[in-house]
Amino acid sequence: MTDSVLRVEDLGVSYGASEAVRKLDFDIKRGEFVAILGPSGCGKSSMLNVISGLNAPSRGRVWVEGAKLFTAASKAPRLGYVFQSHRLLPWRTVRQNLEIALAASSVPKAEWEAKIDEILGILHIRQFKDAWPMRLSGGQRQRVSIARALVVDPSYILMDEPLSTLDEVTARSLRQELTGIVQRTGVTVIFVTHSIREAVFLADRILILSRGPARLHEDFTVPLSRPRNYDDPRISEIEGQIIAGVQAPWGLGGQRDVA
Amino acid sequence: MLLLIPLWYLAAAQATFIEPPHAVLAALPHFLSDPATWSNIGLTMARVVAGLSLGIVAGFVAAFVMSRSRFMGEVLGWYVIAALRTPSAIAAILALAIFKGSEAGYVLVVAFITFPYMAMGMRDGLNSADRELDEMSRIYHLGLLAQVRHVWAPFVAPYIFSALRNAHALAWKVIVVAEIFGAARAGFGAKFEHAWEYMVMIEVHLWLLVFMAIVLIAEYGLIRTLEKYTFRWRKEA
Repeated sequence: MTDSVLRVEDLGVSYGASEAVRKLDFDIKRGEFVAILGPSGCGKSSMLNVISGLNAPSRGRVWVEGAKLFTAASKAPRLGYVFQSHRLLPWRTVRQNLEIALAASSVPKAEWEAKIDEILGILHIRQFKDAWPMRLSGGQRQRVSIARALVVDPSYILMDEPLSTLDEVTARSLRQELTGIVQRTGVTVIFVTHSIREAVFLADRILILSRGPARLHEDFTVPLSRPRNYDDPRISEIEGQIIAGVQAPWGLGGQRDVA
Repeated sequence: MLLLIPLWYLAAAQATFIEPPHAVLAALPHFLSDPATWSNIGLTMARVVAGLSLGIVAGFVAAFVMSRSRFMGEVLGWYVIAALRTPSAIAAILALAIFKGSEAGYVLVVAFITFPYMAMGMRDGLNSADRELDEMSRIYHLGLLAQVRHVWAPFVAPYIFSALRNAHALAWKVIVVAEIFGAARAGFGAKFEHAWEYMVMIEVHLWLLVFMAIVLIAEYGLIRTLEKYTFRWRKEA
């Protein structure tokens, strides 16, 4: 139980008669990198809204580091969130964007400078500390967004397709770096993606969701050691297996199911 | 501005009630050194500042309520539009009749005329606020104050400045109308009306010049400076 950072039990999300998530169960352990794969519109956003503490579920329970969420006494989880777009405040510098997150997380002001320097150093963007977000490239902005997520010492980081808007060269380099950052910081990551290859390259486990309402179709452990190479033929092989397995549950007209 | 001087001379040559620029400028030092000039300007300015402040606060509250509740948005929307379409002279007469020429009447008429501009401007700003940044601020648990300061205010600021510019210009116009209609004993409008009634045309010109100077100083010296400071990040970014 203590090793579990996030536990979701019998989770259900409905909007009136429309059901977005049905009976979802999973457990994420400290330091794990878990990718979530699901077809478009399957209910991933509804699930993310619950595990980010934004919306209460219609059914089920969610625990963060052993504490139950959405009870009268529960506190919102301290988490980092990396969105598809960077969502930095354009009227604040890189440092100020990070400071706002630190202030909101009640981190003592005396620690800010050191934390910001450390995180920006890890992401190789310390030289942009006083830059305005609009002056940065897409990849640099997304690094700042990752820095903002890391700087608050989160229980876990939610990443919602954070590389999907970047060009392939930048995405590739950031993917590679992300694995290094995760190893160095030991942070727990929940990474939502549409790219099966990306999920296989990055994750320890992949939670494959069915077509909406989202249910857990398969909890897949990636059988690859680290460090990994994005062009490794074994990644293509596993990707092929997963693609074949999701044909039926994603309604893609395939014949077999990996479950 | 200098281009207007030849036109002014031309107009003075054609119309008997327009004094030439040199005559007005010659009277300017004495006019400005008279303490009564400044006390009248100060009184009108105080009425404008009080009325405009009240209008800004009322506008902010109305905009916030309108953006948070669709029902209240509909209800208040009618009042705001009615206030927006009310001619300032009518509002001045009504307010002064209700408050019988008291100080409250002058302040309220300015507030009544300026508040719809602030309400509409801020409501548009709030409605245009970036929902993604709003969501980000909730996920990172920014408190209400931090959310207002770091997310909403910068979004609403351009709308506020635009509304403030209109409201400010209108406030000065309406206060003069109110002071004239309200038969005020002191203040810019009262002195202007007095000079006009007795056809002291030099004084009429002087009051007009002072009026233009105050509006321009407030616009360029205060509002635009504040605007530049607020949006300095755009230039640097």
